[in-house]
Amino acid sequence: MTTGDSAPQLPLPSVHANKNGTYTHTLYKLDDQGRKVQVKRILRIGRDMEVSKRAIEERKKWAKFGAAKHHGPGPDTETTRVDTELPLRLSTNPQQLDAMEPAAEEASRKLKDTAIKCRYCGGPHWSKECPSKDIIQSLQEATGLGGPGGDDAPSGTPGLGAGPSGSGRYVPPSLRDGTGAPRPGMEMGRRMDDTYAVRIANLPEDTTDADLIELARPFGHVVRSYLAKYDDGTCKGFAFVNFATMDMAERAIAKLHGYGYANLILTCEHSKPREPKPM
Amino acid sequence: MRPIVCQGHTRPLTRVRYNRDGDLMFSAGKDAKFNVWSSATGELIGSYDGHTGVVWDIDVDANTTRTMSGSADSSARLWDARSGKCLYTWTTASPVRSVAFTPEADLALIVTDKKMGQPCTAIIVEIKDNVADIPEAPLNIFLPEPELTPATIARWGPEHTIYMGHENGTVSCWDAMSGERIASKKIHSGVVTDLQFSEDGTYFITSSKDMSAKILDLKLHVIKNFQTERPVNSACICPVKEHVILGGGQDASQVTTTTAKVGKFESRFYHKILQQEFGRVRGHFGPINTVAVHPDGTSFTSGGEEGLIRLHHFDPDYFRFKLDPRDP
Repeated sequence: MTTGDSAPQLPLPSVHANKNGTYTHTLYKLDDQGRKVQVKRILRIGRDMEVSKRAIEERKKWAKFGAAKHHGPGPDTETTRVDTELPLRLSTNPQQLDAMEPAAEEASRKLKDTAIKCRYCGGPHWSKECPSKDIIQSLQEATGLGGPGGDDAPSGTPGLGAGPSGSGRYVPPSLRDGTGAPRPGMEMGRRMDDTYAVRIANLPEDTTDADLIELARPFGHVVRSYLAKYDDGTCKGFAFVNFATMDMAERAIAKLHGYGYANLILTCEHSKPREPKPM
Repeated sequence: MRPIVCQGHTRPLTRVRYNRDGDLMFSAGKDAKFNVWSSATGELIGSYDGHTGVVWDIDVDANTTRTMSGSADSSARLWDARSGKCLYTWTTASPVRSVAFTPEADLALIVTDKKMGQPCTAIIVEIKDNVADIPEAPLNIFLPEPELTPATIARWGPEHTIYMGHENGTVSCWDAMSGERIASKKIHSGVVTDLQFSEDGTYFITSSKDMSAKILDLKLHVIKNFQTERPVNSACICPVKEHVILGGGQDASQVTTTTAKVGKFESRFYHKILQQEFGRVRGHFGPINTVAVHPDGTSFTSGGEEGLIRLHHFDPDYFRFKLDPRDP
């Protein structure tokens, strides 16, 4: 054990890579009489691929041991699993690396690369396979914006139409034209079916669908009824009933609002459209 | 790229390493486990059971006949790689921080920690083919710590030299036979966390908590510097491409205060020559404690604080990618 100060200063060892693939190791030592000696060794560093291959083959026959002793051949599902596809993000620009969000980046690139474009939503799939085709189609019909391949959408991408400012942000057809006001016809046809929905609340939790229909049938033809339920089937306490005419709905509200049903007082009102979500 | 996740540890990983042929991958963790996996499939092949404390460091000899481990239970063990049998145990006075075989596997290095009133020591032991011939007395013991702080990692250099990284950021070079310090130099401003040699042993990379990794030549000249904004826990040099891989992330103690995105728990790829970052791989949800690259450069492995090992086989994209037109 010596510190560097008291020891005679020996040059550091060095390794030089020669052109023929060998390496010259040079190091300095002190011999018995304290003289400085230079030792040179020429080495070939590397693997013999044949030997390596044979060794790997041999090791494939190893029996499992230790914690893996009772595992069958092949990877055990308890210790090994294959993860989801993860990109190795490569970029020549470091700033870009910071900004890259893998999923979004991947999706947007795919979108750009693809030659297929949906006529409804502009997505990278065939129009007939568009997941939101029905919604967009019915919206287009209701608003008269033009059907598939409509006249006012030369590129055929009404769903992806740019907003008034041209920012590229999605603007629903009802809010297009920059006015922000709903189009005529949209107020009435908020729901595509022209029935009259009534919301009944404060129902007891053991209410069933049959009970609901029984409750609503006296007021007229029930087009549709929906009872909100938890996963276990108990009632959430409210329901929607669609009547065929406005008259029926009015009668149901007049009668059922404040009606005592199974020791609870019901509330009943016209179903209001949902508050528009902030954009 | 679909990484393979290896779940064999219940506590943070401390070290992952490939054997020289690259068909096996070895891992050690704070749960005192030392496992061996198939690097191709991620299959658990076996475990070397016996340690009762954190396994800090492991090594495999060049022929993959024996493995070695150093643990916080104040022992270093020599194992039969094939059967998992413990062949020999060296008992030390304090926890073992680092172990390493020489390329010929005739000597091994055991570095102990400055703990429990004991100084940091480097112990050189002889290894024989016949275990019964291993002498009980070590070949040499020296204290690599007069004014240097304790060593955190030690690796063999050429011709029985030892390169060590220290807690205060110093990197030093020692003669294993005489125990003399050949050189030392303050390289980092934080703890040196890892030291890995290039394939041909002509230079090495050090990583540090000071948020950088540096490539040094054998004379301790800093050749390249890779600066990041998070502590670097491990760094390795790719053998075929001019790349280095850095693993790290914010300190484990601060992880719960931030999201995984802020933590930057990514393996980061830097160009070795241009020192520019060009790639990242996400996946870990804790800091990466250790990274290792396959000796053929076809895959790399990272071990995280969350106890998972992720084995990544590179896509053709990676091999085609050229940051500089002169790249191989």
